[in-house]
Amino acid sequence: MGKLVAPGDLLLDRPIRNPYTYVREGKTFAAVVGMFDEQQGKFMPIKASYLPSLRDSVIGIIEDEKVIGYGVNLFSPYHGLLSSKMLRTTFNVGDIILAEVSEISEVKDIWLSRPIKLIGGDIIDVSPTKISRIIGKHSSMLNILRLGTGCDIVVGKNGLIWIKGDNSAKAIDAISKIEKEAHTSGLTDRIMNYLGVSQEALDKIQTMPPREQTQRSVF
Amino acid sequence: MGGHSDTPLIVNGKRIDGRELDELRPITIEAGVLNRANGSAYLTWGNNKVIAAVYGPREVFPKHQTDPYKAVVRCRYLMAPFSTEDHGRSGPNRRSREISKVMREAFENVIIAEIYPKTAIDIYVDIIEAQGSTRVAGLTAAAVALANAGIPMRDIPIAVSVGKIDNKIAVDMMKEEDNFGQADMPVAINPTNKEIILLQMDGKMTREEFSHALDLVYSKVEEIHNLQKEALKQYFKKSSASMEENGSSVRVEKPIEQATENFTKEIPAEQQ
Amino acid sequence: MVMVIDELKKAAVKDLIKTGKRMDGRSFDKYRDIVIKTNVISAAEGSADVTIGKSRVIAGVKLEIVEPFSDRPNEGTLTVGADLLPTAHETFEEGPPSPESIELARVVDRGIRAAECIDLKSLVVAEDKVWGVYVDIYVIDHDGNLIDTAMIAATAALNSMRVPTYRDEKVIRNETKPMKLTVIPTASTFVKIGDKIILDPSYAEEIVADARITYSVGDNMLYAIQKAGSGSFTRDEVMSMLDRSFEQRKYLLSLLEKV
Repeated sequence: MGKLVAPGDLLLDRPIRNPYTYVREGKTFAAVVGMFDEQQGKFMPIKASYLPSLRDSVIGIIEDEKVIGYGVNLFSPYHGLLSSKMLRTTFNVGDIILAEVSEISEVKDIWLSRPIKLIGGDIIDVSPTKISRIIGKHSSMLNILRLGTGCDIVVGKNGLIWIKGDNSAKAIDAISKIEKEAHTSGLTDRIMNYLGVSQEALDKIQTMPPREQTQRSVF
Repeated sequence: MGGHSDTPLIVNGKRIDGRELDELRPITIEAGVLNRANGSAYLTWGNNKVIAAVYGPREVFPKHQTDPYKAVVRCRYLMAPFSTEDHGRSGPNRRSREISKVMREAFENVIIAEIYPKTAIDIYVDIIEAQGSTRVAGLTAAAVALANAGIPMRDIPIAVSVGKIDNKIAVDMMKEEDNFGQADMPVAINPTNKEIILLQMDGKMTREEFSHALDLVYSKVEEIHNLQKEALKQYFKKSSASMEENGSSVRVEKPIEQATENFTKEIPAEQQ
Repeated sequence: MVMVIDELKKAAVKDLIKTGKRMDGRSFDKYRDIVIKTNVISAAEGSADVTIGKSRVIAGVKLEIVEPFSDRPNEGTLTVGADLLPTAHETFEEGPPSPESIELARVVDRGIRAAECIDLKSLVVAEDKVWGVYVDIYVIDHDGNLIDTAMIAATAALNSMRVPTYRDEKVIRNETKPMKLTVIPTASTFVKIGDKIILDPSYAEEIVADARITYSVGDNMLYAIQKAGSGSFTRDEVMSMLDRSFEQRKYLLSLLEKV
């Protein structure tokens, strides 16, 4: 499980590297409010803004056209940029896209590549620190959500999630539940029950080759 | 400071609100009270009422304030026109500008600004009812709001005032003590390393009185810090409670409507 | 251009301080040369032109007949203002007062007011009419430690003040009486660079410093403290600097009493 810690609380007697902790005199302290599981050595911040990493999949909204391409709103303090050089399609302001972080410039511009337009659907916004829980190990949680709701679901590391389908309300419901209970154990089973997904169905999906499971294959 | 009043501030060893010299007024703190701000807190301290809100890290406007290496921390302390006995003017004045400055500097000490370069972290402290020592109440509240917003910090600082009334050193100055006492000293401290990040003083104190005043301040650090942590814990509990009780915690945004011709062309239709 | 040089200087200053030395060779507890001139502005009731090293402040004191403050009807009033002139430093701009200039005025104000060094009660001339003492601090050259420079200028100007005569409801400025301060408050400013604490920072030392603190003191009495900057101080450092301020007071008083 873990215990709730606040900035300044001691986590470990040795130094580790993590954007949500800091080191002083060889010890690691929490820098944000989060759940610390000492046994598993995991620290999960409750809330934090998105910090981009290379090859992250992110969801954004085209917000303006520039000479070099497009500006993308990633709902983070940093802006996404899409170069029009290697694009095969044109985009319009307001288009929702899934893209990959290909480069982070010195001035913290986030260059995106391989954009795919997401049409229709709903966008929801969760704390970026909960995203990995929503995806789950080997995408298990994400697959449970898809199976249990029949929706197309695409998750951005920046905290945006795109959902499309008749049961989108149910998907939003379940994701909300995961966000609230992300720090608890047995969550995967609870969500499976909540959505009526059998272990069998899940196993079937999980054993499919990885390529079939990625977000891009949703399309 | 140094106003003249014939009424004594200490009678039979008790202050005019019945407190001991080393007693704080009652403090309540609630985290996450605002919907739009990234982090917030509502704090009452005696009859002081404070709302603290944090926005950020976010884009910097005006752009020329951007720091390429770290987040810029900005702070605005303001007293509402209805917060004091006499109606005050809206907007900042010289006093509030100075307080905003020393508060910002205190937070610059704890915020790990290097994590979010080229952004701004904006702290807003609004005093909606003022009853003595508002800047320390505001700082204590803003610290909770920052933690509530997930801003990386080394510590959650606390602040408290200490002063001299009727020649005695006392903690937590209420309005009358602020106005008619002999010295007033707001202090902010980092609970983890006990270092002083805000210190102002105004009045008359001997070296011994000053040393005693610091002792009194340090004796209250843990008490106030525990209240801050408890507020954050309560917020966490509330926001993690089961769905049925509290409704959806996620914000739903509908994308701009797309023209139907776009529908099939862009994406290969491969169903799960 | 100037900014680049300042950046280079910053590293040099820091490294030197670590070894216990300062750019100008001073010890950690020495003021730069202090020069105090009073009665420099004949139109003012009191004035002083003070330099600490290359920092320079002119303070002027004007007395006007005003209504007393409603909560202090039997006293003259005191108002302290400060202007950081664009002439003083390339980073000072025209426009509304910056937080730094507001802070400077308020810190000097508190140092003087808390000391109760002006006999305000003697400045009542009639019912509802008192002398209002206006102290204006003009910073004309900035090489660090403007607070101490301004405090010396303000107190020197006040200590050489001449109060005009008020007769038949008229101010007669050429008939004056001298008025001295009952006590002369002195201010000492320290900055912390790394773990070293030094008195009277130059501009380069100020911009490199993590924190700054000013103590306004009298005879065995502390009147005001202002900490600035994002660094922190330990309790021991805070007490130690207070003691150093009392030490420096002897030196500063010797200069002020000579004027």
